[in-house]
Amino acid sequence: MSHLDDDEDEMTRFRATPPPDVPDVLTESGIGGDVHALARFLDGLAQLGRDCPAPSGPLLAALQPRRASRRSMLVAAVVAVSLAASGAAAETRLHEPGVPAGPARSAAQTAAPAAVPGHRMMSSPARTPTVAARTARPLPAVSPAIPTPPALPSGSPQGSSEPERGGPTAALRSPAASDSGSPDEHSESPEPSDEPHRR
Amino acid sequence: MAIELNDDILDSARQGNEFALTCVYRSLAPGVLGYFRARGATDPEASVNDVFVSVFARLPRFHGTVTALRSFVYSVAHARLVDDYRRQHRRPTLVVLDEGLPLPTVASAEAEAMERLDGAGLAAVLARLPDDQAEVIVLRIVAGLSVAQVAEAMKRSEGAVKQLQRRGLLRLRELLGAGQVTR
Repeated sequence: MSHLDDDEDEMTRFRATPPPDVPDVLTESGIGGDVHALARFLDGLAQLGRDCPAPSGPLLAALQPRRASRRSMLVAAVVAVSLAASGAAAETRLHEPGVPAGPARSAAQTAAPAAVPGHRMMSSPARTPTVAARTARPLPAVSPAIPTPPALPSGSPQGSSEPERGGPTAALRSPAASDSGSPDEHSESPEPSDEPHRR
Repeated sequence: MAIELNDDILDSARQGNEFALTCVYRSLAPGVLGYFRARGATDPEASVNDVFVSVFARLPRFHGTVTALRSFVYSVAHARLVDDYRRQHRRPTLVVLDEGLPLPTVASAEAEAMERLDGAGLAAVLARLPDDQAEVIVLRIVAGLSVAQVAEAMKRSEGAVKQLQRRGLLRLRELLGAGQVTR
């Protein structure tokens, strides 16, 4: 039997197969005539995704977004607590005699919702009078709930990397402040907010 | 057990309910898988996963009904398919030629479709259609979208979709009915 005969047998079997229901799309498009093969083809197309596997890999993780949101809520809560505490510290500084009320208050207000690193730039000009106030009197203790960053030497890369902070602040900084290092702990008020992100 | 996706389930899925998200997946994923197979995607299963990871990430911000969600899912799937096509063009498939292998016989599209009514065979026939006609037919038949939903997913008018559908079906009938197209 030749290859052509095989094909003919195949064709005969194919044409003898009862066609599936004529899909609506054929009726919609007004396509008539011999639609046997076309209907069978479309039926085959419709079956293509029937053996869809269960979700796996990263999709399984995506199916549980609640866990992720709980984590992010925890992070947000820690950030809020530390920001509230740093805001309270700023408020305390406002009552000190040498601190001009206007800019420091606005700094405290703007620093409170600041969870993003960009806010460090906004609050840095207001730190200048704060540093002057610090040299006059030590700051009150910050709540123990706030993760305290390690004491940095005055010439640390963190301080020197920001020209905004180094410029005006350097002129006002007293030798006592620059040597002790401890006031710098408080000058980095937005820093604790980074802690939860690192975790 | 198949669960009919409705707007209540969609609301729960939007709020991150795991069961509702699974319902969304089970309801829509088979169509998306069929879509990728019919359009000749490199790795249809992985593409389905990618689509739903992306859809679930955006679901909390999605405001619409189940009907709109279907169109949205296939818009994402279409974008993923375009990426896949681009990758295929960037990285040509290397085929090692073996002299011992017989040369492929020339077969008609109809014979090919008859022999293997699987994804590859169907995709090979569909690939003979202009891309937008194939897209409309797959979205209508495999995904089960209405003309309006296809129009939304493809960013075309309903009239244009109907025209593409008609032309695509006529071309398919011609290819399959006459068996005259050869490789």
